[in-house]
Amino acid sequence: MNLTVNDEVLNPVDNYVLFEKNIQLPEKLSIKTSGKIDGKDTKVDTDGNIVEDMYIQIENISLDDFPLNEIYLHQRINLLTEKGETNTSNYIGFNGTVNLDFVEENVFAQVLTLNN
Amino acid sequence: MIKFNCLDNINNEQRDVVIVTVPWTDSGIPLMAPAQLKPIVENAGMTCLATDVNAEVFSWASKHVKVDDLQRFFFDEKLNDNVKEDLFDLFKNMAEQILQWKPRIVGLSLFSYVSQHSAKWLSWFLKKLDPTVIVIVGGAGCMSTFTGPSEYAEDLINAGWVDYHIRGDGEHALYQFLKNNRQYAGINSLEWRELTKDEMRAVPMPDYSQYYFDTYQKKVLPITGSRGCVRKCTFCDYIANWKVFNWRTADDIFNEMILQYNKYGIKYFKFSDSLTNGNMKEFVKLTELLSEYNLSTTPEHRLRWSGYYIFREHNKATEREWQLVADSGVENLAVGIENLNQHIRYDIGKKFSNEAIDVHLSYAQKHGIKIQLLNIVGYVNETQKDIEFIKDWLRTHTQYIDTLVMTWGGTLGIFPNTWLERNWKELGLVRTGDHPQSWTNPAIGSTPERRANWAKDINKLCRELGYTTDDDNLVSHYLLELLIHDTV
Repeated sequence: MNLTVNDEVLNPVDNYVLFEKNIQLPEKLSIKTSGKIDGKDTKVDTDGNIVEDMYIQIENISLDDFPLNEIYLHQRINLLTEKGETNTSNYIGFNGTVNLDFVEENVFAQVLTLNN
Repeated sequence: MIKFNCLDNINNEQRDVVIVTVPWTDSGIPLMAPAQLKPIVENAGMTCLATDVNAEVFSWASKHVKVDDLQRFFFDEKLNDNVKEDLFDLFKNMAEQILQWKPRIVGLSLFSYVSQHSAKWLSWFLKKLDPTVIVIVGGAGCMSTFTGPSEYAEDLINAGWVDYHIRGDGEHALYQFLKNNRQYAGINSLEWRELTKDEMRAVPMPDYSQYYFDTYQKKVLPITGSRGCVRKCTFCDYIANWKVFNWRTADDIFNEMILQYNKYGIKYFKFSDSLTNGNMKEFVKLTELLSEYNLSTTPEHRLRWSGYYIFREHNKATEREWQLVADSGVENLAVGIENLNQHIRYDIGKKFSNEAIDVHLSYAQKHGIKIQLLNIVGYVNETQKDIEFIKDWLRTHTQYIDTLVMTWGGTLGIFPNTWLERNWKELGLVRTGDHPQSWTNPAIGSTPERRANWAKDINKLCRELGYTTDDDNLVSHYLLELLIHDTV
């Protein structure tokens, strides 16, 4: 599965990658996933349960060392899939695009707005 | 845009250390810690600006049209759009004005846990503006319970926004810190050392010279006469932190009151002690000194005071003691009576009779002294019968309506390192959650919800009978509702 942030290709080491970038608020980050093949990269058992999957999980997003909270990670990250569907999760199991919109002008307002 | 008068540096001066209180503390009077620590810094050979920033924030916020939204930030770190710019400017200006003094060290004093969000953001702004500045946090607000530990301070240190956490009696630990003895007990450690009696008596007088007194609703100076407590109440975690009762002499306290009055022209003092009359001999002497002074001067120069007080069993000296208390200038006494049921009070460790309460109240009324009775509803063995006794007591003591302010609080919480917590199993209690109020006593059917309803019932009766209560206390009210709705 390929991963880019603002068109910068990220290459995980031991299945893990840390992306750091100096940004000037307001800013938009675009996370794109691609290359996952339906029927090949997800394995299901005879009952239809997923037993193996290829995915990207966002573990943490921090602005100036302030972590965005669990609510943000699990309920505010929207993946627009290549099929035009929207999935809300930090578990990205489809090809598509996540746009992180940091619309505030300072970290104080941005962190607190996103964490509220 | 708020600009802090207390941090104004019109002559572009420099201070080695800046110590400030951090919002939010709902106080119309000065917070003492910076003033207490300023002479300590100066004794260590450094210059210091020590002031009460909280007071200006409190005053500014109280007049703000969106005060509720501001409080949502201070209490819960919730940011509404309509105050986000004001709050950003608030912390940015606070940090910039602190750093205009070019300090090497900034001390942030957290009076209560409600200061935690502000202290976090202030320290972040400070470090962004000057990564070399050393930030220290201290005060009871750093910890969720009196005895700690402080996960909050640890998180700030790990994030790099704070460098040190000083806990407990800060006077000697801060002095040692400034002398580069950073391994001293209380500096980034759970263990700390209480000031000895001699050390406490040698602590210099607080220096309020950089407090901006126009800010306050009431011209009052805090003063400390003792630390620790003479009682060993079963519910109390204060005594788990301050294990020894240390007191200053009456002469020492009186001299401070006179000197501070002469310096600032403020004649009203609020004692920070957990009890002003822990050492009865010194207390009587202090009231004698104050009475002599007050009776020998004109009314406009008479000193006034308020503080916490304990009732004892009455005796032949009680009448004279109350006369002295009155002549000494007392206005309000807060009395931790805990429970109007004598048997419960005895179990708690407060061994004075109901007859003694009546005697003390009659003298207080005679002298026009306001008494705030601090109660705990739902002690571990309290039953419906005891609640009915409290209600009867209230009905039969309405002659004291003008004397009493009744406080019922948020029901009994069982805190770490208290006698109650150590004897949990023996008392037959069952823990039902992490909150201090989350416990039951199955043998008598005592549950959080039942206890909260008792507190509400008593409050309601109090109001119906005409007593003054402080049941509009937001923290207690909020907690009772949580308990009743089974979210604790």
